[in-house]
Amino acid sequence: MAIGKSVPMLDSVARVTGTVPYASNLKLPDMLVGKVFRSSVPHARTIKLDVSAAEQLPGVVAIVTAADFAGDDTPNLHFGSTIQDQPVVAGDRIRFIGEPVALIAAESVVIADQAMDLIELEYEEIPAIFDAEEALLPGAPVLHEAFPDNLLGHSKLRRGDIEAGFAAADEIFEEVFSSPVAQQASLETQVAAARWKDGKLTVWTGSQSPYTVRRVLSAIFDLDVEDVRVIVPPLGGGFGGKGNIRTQPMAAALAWKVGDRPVKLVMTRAEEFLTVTKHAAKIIVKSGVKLDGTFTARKVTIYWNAGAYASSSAHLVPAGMLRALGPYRIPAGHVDSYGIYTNLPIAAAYRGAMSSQGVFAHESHMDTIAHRLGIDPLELRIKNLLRTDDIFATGERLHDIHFVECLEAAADGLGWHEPLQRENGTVKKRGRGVAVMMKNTIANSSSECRIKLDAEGRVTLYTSTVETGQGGHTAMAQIAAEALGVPIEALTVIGPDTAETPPDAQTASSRSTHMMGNAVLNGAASLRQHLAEAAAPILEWSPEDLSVADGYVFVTTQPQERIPYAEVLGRKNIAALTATGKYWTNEGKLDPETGQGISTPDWHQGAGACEVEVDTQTGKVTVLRYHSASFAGRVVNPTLAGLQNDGNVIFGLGASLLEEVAIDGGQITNPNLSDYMLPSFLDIPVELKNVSLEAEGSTFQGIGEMTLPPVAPAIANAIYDAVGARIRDLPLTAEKVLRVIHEQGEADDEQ
Amino acid sequence: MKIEGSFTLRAPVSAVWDYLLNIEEMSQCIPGVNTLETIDANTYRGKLEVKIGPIKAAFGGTVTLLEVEPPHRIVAAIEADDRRNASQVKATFISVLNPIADGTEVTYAIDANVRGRLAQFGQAVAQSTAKKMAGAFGSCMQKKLDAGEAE
Amino acid sequence: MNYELLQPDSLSGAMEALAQHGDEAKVLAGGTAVVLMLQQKLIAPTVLVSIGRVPDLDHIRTEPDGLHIGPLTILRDMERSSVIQRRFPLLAQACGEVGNVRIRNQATLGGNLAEADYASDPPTALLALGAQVTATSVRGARTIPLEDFLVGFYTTDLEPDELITDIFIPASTPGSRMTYLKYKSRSSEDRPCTGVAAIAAFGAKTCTDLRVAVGAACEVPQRLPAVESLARGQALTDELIGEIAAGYADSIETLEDIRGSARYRTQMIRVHVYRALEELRNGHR
Repeated sequence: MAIGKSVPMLDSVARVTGTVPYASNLKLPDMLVGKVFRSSVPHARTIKLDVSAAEQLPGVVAIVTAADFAGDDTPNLHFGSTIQDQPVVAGDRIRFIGEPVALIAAESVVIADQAMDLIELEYEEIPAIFDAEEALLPGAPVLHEAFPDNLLGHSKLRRGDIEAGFAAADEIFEEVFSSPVAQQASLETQVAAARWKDGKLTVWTGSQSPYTVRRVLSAIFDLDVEDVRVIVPPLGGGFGGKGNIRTQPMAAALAWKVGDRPVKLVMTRAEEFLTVTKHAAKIIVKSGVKLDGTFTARKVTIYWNAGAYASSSAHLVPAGMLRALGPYRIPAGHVDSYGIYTNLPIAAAYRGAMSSQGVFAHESHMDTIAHRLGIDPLELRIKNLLRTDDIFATGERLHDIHFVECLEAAADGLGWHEPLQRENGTVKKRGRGVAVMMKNTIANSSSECRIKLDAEGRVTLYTSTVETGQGGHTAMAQIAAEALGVPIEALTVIGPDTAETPPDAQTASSRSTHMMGNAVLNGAASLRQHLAEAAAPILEWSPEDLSVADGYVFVTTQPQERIPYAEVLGRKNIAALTATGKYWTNEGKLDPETGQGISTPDWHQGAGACEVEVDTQTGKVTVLRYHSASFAGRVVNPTLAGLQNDGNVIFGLGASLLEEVAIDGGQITNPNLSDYMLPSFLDIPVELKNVSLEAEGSTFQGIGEMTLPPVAPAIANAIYDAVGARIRDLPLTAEKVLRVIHEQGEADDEQ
Repeated sequence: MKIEGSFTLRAPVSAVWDYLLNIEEMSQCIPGVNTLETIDANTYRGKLEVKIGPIKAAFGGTVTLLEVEPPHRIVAAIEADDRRNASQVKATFISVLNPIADGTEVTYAIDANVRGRLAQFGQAVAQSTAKKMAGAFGSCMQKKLDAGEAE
Repeated sequence: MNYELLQPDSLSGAMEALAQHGDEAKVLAGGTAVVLMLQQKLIAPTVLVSIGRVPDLDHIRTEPDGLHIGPLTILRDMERSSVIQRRFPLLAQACGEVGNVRIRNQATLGGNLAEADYASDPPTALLALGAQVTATSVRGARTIPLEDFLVGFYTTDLEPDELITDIFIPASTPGSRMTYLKYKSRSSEDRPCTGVAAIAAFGAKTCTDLRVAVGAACEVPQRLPAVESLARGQALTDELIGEIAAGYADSIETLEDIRGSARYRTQMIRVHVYRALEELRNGHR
């Protein structure tokens, strides 16, 4: 049995010896260096772009500008996975500070840097808008003529009679929450290398979405998808930032202009902040509640700041809508989720995308209600949490629901009902908080794999699941090993390489273990069938009478009559047996006016509970203990699952307490990891524990994000529990906490 | 980025005003200004050099007087860029003269957008530099005003 | 990044290089600051003078009047030096709080002082200790008290042709207690929001001498002798400690950055000066 075992990551030795072949380290013969010349203004009309001096600098091989896209036989300037609003390089319009304006291919970084200083850009600045809500106001500067109100998407959820619900409430609660722009901050920055040969394009890139990259590149260059090959080595982290399409069009355009030499483009850390960010959000939550803690209605309005181009926001805004109400029984629920263009860098998925912001809002809000009603926050949640067979706000009947178990596992781990010593005679006070989350996954998508068994008994799994460092390839190998009855050592995992590995939607939204895992199961079943068919003549039984397991094909009723896989192939003179496996879901087609329908194949579920200590003189918050739980269905690799749960908590500490991209007039002022603050190992709670919940008969569920969104509200709730300070805007900085403590002190003095 | 401050001068508001509006002469009191030319009645072009430790910035740009309310309020727009540092400054500058017991209080409020490489240098440095420059400007101006009085 | 890298193997060679290139040259020691500034193109020297090959610049030498530290001494060695731990524990503390161990294994004390980054720990500790910097050039050597050496943001009293060749710490009154309190408003490996270095000597029942330096919250680390003198000959009561903490908080013009507003910095000075003095009084260190 390979499933359920903590086998080491397949590439663990390479990881600790520094030999993982990251795309950042890729060297191709005759490879040129790519560099990006960027705008320094947030919104402008381009008057003149002169690259002639830069082009003449020795060592500069090519410079790409929008003019290269202007003819009939040229590539298409604009691209996008959903809305084609983004230019490869800015043309007559610049929409954010740091937007690519010209691309340089040169023999060295030094030469490319010198060339940058020779580029002359003349522009006429026009008014810019940075706040999402203000961008919706009449008269606000318009970014895209096709979207005159700056609204790229508006997702609506309408369930029940909302006004009657509020009218029936004993108490109405309304709060406003906000989350700042943040950055995914993968250790490895964005990278893409491209090479053209015989009219065909090959791209090596750190991407979570190789097939999206292939589709979009083929559209830019008017190629058949087969003429674009996308190869993805292991990633040094993705966290959503490497989903969709990012730097690949620029690398491909540079190589196209160069012609016969490959070009590699690696983002600097500062450029990383200009390439992709997390959506800032303002969320208004209004709830109607009975005094006994039952809900009558909830209305949520979300303004997502999408930045200058739609990118993945077009499908993330509806996801944000689905997650906004929280996993509660609420008879009337309305959500308006607005995706809004502003003159900021592009926002896209960030681990726990569109959940973290919403969960911070509804879980902080739950505690506000609990405290006002005098109900224990854990009890209020358990009383209202959705159960299996409940009807969700989309009208869909829920299956495999374990919110209560997740929350109780986290709370029990922390010892929620145990007494807490709140003070110890010093200026420090302690408190506890809990939070729970729900998220849909990518619906209406498919995953496909190919499995090859050779005459030596070796198994090769071809999969487009991206190894982001999460152990995805190891999990797939474990599933294949078990389903084929071979030891894990017999497995080799190849991919993604669109020329070799079958299509997969993307490695995102914690979908891979479930989707690709089931595709592997299906592929293995098919391969077992092939084996039975090949062995039938040798064993002289019909295939239906044969079983395939543990390395042998055997007669089901007479297991001693058996033959090893390798021998089957050897005796039949078959070099290799190959099977494909596919898994897909059709959900996700919701009514655009009401959001009614079946939204997702599965709901992702997680919870957290923590104990914090607040220094009442500085406002500094220390998370002392954190317990998390996620619903995993069936755990493939307990160690890797635990690392996802714990990794989420550590990652979440950053967004909760530290991370905020500082922006002044559209200019990012902290695009480095000294000023943009990530948690360090010293910030990890002394007691950090997790549980991956399983259920009888359940399949693999995604666990890549579930324990992350509860972190911020659990901490915010614990701060409130400790010192009575409710912070509604992330991050929960010491200064904000101290300010609220002081304000309350003043308010108390007045009473 | 918003920068606010004030300094006082031992001279009546009218004298301070007259001096301030003599832009070319006044500019000689701004530390680091090495050229200033008049484009038209309300527009001036100049160069400013600032040094913060090892970092040298050399800005060239224009100052446009947007509102002139004699003798107490002036609003100007500043646009300048530093090509070597690939940086720009875009700012509005408001200065108000208030009569006080023994002279004039000059308040200033700058709302500046710093873009490019120098932007990540930080607010603390920019604010302090602006305040130091204002202080130096004030004492230079006091000297000039005193000298003018003596003449 | 177009510069010439010079690697003199003698002090005189280094000084001649600096004398020749002056303002166009930049000294490279550990490189933790200079390389970042080069990469960000904030500086563009035509010559980099690496002093790594100059001998005898990484000494930690005890003399009767105090301790001499070479500018190339890495912060990790400062942190781990038994003589510093014994005689000037707050300096070992402050150096041990910088960045993380990877940084401390590379960054040098001389480089730290020459960069004059306000958001740093060692300068505050050295100011409380009354440190003096020796700057040497082909024109000769001069000794500069640290309060005169640190001039402003990233600005020192060093002339372009001068190199720090020694950092001297005078011996403290025997039996002095000292501490460095670094307050990080964000992650555990962040730069300081405020840093407080305090040294107190005690008689039978009273404080005979007090030195308090506050840094990171202001442009350069500051001591307030008038406030320090409140403690002389007095018992460090809660009231007196509170008065001194308030004196520092009220007098220091604080700055605003991503680690806290000016107002918050003022509050943190008050809290941490109080805590530092409380710690010294209670004799925990």
